[in-house]
Amino acid sequence: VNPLGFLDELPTWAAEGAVGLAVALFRLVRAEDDDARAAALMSAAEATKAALDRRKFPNG
Amino acid sequence: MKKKIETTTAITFGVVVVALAAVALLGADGVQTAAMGALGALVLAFTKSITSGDDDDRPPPPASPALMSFAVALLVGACASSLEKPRDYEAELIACNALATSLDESIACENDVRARYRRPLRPVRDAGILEGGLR
Repeated sequence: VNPLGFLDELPTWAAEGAVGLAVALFRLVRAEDDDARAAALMSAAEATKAALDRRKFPNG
Repeated sequence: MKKKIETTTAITFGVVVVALAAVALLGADGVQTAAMGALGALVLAFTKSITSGDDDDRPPPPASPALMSFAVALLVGACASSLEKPRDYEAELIACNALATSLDESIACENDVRARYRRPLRPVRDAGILEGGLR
């Protein structure tokens, strides 16, 4: 059993969302003040929105 | 019963879990909650993957969208709980997605919101990070 086998069936929108959120989490961890923290969270929201768009409108 | 865990993937999984655990223990308040949520989601997915392959050779089922939603909600929601502006921003973006009937309409709405919050605009017909990569 491949412990990461579930990744094989991961939809594109979920993969994109995960990448965007990972980047946002990295920025959040490195944020040194509230402004930087807010910017990281806003980029997380944008990644979430983009993933939701991809899921709702898969063909554009 | 076949249980063959590839060394590389097992090590990768272990490193990710340890990294998340470290963030959960050492990170700032909001980040700790997010890391714990991500860790929980990862362990849930791992458990599901292992148990689904116990009896036969069928591939494990895809990760539940609910599981990812749970992780997303924890990451954005828990961390944004102390910051009003990102929370409002997220709510407006999600509303754009919910109300739009086409991708163009959704992106136009999103750009209106971004402009009000002084964020860079999203290109219309965004190509996406992994276009053609995992489809």
